[in-house]
Amino acid sequence: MSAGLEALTGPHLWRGRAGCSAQSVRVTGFDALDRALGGGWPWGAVVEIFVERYGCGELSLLMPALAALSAADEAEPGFFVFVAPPWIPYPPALIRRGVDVGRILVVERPAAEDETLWATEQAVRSGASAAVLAWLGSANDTELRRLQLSAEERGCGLMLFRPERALRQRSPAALRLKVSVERNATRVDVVKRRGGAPQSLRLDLFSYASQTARSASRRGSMPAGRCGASSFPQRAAVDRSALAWVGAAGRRSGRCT
Amino acid sequence: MALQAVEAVGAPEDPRPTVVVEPSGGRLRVVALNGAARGRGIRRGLDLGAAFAFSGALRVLERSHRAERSLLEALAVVGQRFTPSVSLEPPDGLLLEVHASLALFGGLERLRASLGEALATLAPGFDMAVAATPLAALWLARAGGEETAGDTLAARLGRLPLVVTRWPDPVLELLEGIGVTTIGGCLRLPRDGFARRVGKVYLDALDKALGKRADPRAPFDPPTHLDFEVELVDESTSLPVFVDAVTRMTEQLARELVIRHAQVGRLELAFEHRRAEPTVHRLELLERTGNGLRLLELLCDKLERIELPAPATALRLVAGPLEPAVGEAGRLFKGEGGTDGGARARLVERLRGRLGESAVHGLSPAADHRPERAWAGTEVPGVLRRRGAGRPPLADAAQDPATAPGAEGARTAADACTADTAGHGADGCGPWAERPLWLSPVPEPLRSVAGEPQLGGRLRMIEGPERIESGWWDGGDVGRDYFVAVGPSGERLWVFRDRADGRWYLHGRFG
Repeated sequence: MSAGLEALTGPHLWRGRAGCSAQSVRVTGFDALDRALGGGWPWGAVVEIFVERYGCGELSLLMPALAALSAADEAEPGFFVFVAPPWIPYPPALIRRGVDVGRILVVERPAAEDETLWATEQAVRSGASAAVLAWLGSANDTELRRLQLSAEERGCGLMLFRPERALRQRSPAALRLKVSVERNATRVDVVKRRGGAPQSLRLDLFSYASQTARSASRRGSMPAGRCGASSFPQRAAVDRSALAWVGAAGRRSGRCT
Repeated sequence: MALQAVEAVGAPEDPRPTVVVEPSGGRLRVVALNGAARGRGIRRGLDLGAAFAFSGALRVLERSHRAERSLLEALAVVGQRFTPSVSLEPPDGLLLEVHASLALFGGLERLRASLGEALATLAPGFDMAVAATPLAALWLARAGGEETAGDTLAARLGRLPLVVTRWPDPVLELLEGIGVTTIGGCLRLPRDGFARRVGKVYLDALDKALGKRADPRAPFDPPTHLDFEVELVDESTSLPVFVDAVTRMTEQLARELVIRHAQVGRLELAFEHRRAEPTVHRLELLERTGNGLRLLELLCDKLERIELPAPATALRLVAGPLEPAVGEAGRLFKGEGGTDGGARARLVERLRGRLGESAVHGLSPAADHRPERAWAGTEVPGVLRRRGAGRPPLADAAQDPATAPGAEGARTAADACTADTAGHGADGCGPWAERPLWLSPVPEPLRSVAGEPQLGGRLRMIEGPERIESGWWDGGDVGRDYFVAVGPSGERLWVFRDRADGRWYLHGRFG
């Protein structure tokens, strides 16, 4: 091959999908999604997630990535910032999915929408955050671009949850996903991906959540569970978590040998 | 001293002729000057107009008694490295009782040398004298610190001009009128006549200087708070004016903190009004700091949010209590995992400064079966309070009894919760113990048609019931059957039927 051709295939030449490998990604924890996104969540870039109605698994999509970040051993672990979440991120559920709730910083929904943008930008730019999840209503192109630049600079994951109507808007986001439910499974439409084509896939997020809970519990310490089960008779469905709580307490006080 | 106080600490001496002026008798008079000004022939006590006649390119600074006082206090702090008994002699004197320190520092000459070196870093060009009594030492130092070894104290003092005593002008004029211009002259006068004609206090002062009378001194106690004030030229509500005032005060504060090698964790910014009580805003830092820029940033964020009931006439900044500065461990390699030091605390402070204290919080699980009580908000994310991360803890357990046990509780609760999942695994717990990622702060009542809950359409139950009965002992009694339901557009919801009244509520969403 001539030297001229070599020079042509240098880093400046755009070569379709192969050209986008420079972006840093984090595995999503779902093989199908990883394939569709070209490796995982783009990190250090804006990801927009459009949800028609909350409760279709939009947060579960991010849980494996947050769990992987939680598991990493760092001297100064960064925050997971939740900016203006619509409801309370529920700690027991987060813990079951392996997320370190001690790293979560919740910023309640401010009265004004531009405060949400401000808080999001602060969280990204501070360098104190490992991931920022923000529930943004309206944001224009310029504001999103600014967030995009901050995220790039800090290498921080930035997920914006936006109402579906914002889909029509132009956006500099590296990835835009639409999440909905279809026949008991979560449907993820990749609306836009840098260096990739739009596509759709279905994920079984609801049973995935319980699977991870089970696999996590297998890794957990057994004596607590056994202790709990033996010290209390199991009565119908009266909150089994109670048993484990008692078990844990027993272990602490040394009653359980 | 007056000159050094208004100059920035550690700044190289300005080559321009500089004078410090103070209004006296309706005119501005020179109270201090530098070498360059002295070289042009300017003298202390000169009128400012006359001083300009000597040099057109004169730099004029206004005298600040507050700055002088704080410089003196800073010097006293330095002096405390050499002896515990330091006392202030405002405006420009400092007394150290060094007898007990002589052995430690290797004799008087070496002590003088190292003390002089330490003080010179803050205020070069002072005079020092050593004598058996504090007042004699002070007078000797004012006379230029000359030393004649071997003479008696009376002989050494006797040669001093009377001005070193800084007695009031009428007294000095009276004594000068009878031909007495030195301390020795005073000592030769008859005591009872001196006491009657000049004053008993002056006789006492002479006795104190000679050691015939006790002369106890109040030891210097370093202040725990720093206090700055800027009076506004005019009543104002304008943000730029406030920012300017706060900037000036913060610069002073940062300078003071450097001198004292201290940090602050609490600031108080007060706006004084003409006819109303001052408006006070408090700023609590998660991490103590001595960094002026950071303090300024926080204060300016705060300023933007402040609403005043009336225009402010003055701004006051109180910082404290002062804590000894703790060095921050720098990192050799940046950007590899984690965050750089203090960034997390700064983020929390910034967000709080603008959005309010309660708008920013952390999360922790809590040991309770009732879903709405199985979590708790924490003041800051637990990770900020974790030990062993190579940083000093934010709040010592002893200092912060209210939050420290809470953090402890959160950790044990987290342990317990891990055990919770373990418990389910051990007895093959089914998916009914699933918890939603979203919890409504209060259960939202659902409309029901023929006993079936509705939310924009009929809800289909796919899992449940999971019965939760708890709380009869603390008044928060609940009896609920929880179901996982599917809404009309496929969303997963966590609903329950209250066993007391049979009504349906939405309590969470499987986001």
